Amino acid sequence: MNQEARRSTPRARYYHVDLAGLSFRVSRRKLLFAAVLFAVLLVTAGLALLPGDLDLGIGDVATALAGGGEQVVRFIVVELRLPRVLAAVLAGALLAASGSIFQTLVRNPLASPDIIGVTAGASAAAVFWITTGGDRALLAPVALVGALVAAALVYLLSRRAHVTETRLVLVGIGINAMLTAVVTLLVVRGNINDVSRAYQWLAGSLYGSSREDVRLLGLSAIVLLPLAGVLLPAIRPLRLGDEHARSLGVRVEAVRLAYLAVGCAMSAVAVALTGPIGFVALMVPHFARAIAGSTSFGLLVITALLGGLLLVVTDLVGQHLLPVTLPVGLLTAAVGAPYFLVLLHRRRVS
Amino acid sequence: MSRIPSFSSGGGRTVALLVLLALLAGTVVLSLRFGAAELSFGDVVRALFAYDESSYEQNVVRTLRLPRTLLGLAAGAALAVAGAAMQAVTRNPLASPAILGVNAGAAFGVVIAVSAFGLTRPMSYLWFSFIGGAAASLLVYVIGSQGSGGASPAKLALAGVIVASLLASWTTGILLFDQQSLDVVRFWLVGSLAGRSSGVLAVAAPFQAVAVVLLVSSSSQLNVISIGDERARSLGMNTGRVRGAVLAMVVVAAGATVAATGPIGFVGLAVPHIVRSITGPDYRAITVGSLLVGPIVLIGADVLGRLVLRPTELQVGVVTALIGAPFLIGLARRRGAISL
Repeated sequence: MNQEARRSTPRARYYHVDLAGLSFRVSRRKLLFAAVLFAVLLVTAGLALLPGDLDLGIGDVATALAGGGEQVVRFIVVELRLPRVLAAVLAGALLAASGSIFQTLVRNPLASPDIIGVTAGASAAAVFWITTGGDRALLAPVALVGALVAAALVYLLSRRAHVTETRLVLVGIGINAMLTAVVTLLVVRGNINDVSRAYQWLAGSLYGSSREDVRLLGLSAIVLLPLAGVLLPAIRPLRLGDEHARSLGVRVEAVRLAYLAVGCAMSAVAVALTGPIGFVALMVPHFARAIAGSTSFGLLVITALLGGLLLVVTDLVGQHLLPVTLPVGLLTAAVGAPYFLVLLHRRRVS
Repeated sequence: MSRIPSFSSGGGRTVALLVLLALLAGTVVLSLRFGAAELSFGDVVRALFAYDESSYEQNVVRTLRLPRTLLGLAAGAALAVAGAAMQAVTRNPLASPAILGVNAGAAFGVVIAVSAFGLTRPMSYLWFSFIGGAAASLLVYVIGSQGSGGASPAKLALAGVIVASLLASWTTGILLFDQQSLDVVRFWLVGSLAGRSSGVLAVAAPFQAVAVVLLVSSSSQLNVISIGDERARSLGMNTGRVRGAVLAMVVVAAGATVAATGPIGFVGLAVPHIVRSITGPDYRAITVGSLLVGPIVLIGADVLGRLVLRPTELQVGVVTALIGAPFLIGLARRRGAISL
């Protein structure tokens, strides 16, 4: 469809939504796409509950989810498989959405939450905890603290009168390099058995996802994703440059800090609970943009759905389709890469 | 092409050059003098100019410190110049040779060498690492050139990220199941100038030298391409060919270096920024500046790493990050925005 057609029939292509005083426009194409994606995600997540040491039928799983059937089956489905699948969906959605936020904010296609030090901070804290023999149960909170401290450090160090994107990126590179050096140092100096365990964490895995994990991830998604959507209209003028945005009445600093904080919180929670799962935050926003076009709330939703889908599919592959079971973090790139090649060939990546 | 003023005068440029050369010479001397073994400056001078094979001190200088310093010289220059060229042709301040997948490919090559062939010494897996890095970059270039418009910086960067994350996950995957290899590879992955035989330098140095000379001598082209493809083309430049040639040289320089020392981060990324903050945007000044500042930073970091934990040492890859990072942060804060 060309620009002319879109302009001549605006009503046919957009829906206007009014939600508690917040009104925005949703393109019909994006809505349709999001609906299809959501359906695919539901079906895939459902299918992911079937295979395992005990292969189950659709009927068994449906009964177990409804609270009936054999107790063993119910335990396997509700306590073991469901948390893992939900964790995959939610962590994928949070990572992808935060990637999209950072790419919008920094205006750099290579930007990801890594830039603000979240991943490196979580990794340094987690590897320190593992190699010094800390309590396993506290690993996720420790990683979360590491992620947030690193992000706060990057933000505060890039503040000087106001934060510019370039300064944020450069300070981020610096903090990242230091924290990565700390990880390297711990890996070189540590006992090889601890280092092995640290490597397992660094690979990024959904193994052992619990109900509590899912609750935290779900809470974060429910709070943070709509918040990102609400902030979006205020963020868009920043693309014109800070001066211009300010002249339009945008409170540039406050808006940027709020958006950064949302993006940070999203990725920090995901990374703390699963370890650094690469590729999702960086690449899924590109996929989503190639499919669904310019920055909007619809795009954010599609990005999140796509992120969730990628992680569910990847974890399914890692658990059941290979001769060995592999942590999900090792496969996201392998599962996502072919799709990137397709996009390149269809000239969708600019 | 008109001359772009970089320093206020030609005289300023000469002074800067002399200061950097003096700093470099000073760092080299320090690197020969300090380390686990106690030596005097006299030992260093005698080892260089009146070598006595029976002297333990002079042997330390000749067989340990000198090869290590020369390796640092070559590695620092190659990484910094490659980084500057990379930032020019991709017009991205985040770009470093690592984005082309060089480090990830090299690491994968080493992991294959160690885990599948049971090699354990840096010299024995040098070629695996070099070929791994080069093959990964070639793959990145091929993927990044797909679609319309050839190899644009954005497509290259994205392709690089994909290939690098693929290789990194394979590397981690192998190491997860093979603790013995992890125990060897983790020491390579830090990036270090120590324990490399002079054979390592003899293999790597010719590649590094050729690539660095070609990159520095093509700095006028870097100036043109760094202003943007459209404008570079309107000045008659075949941007695709220039970008391809520069990237090939970057891969040779960075690939040979990572093969010799392991992945040393930060030098390729930060040194060009540091130099640019002094010289301004002229790549003729930036490449020459990086050529000198790179070794100063790398050898300086190596010396520091030998001193802080004496008699053991901190690997140079760790030191460059721990020292260089605060410096970069300070620079970013002071100068407002470092930009291309």
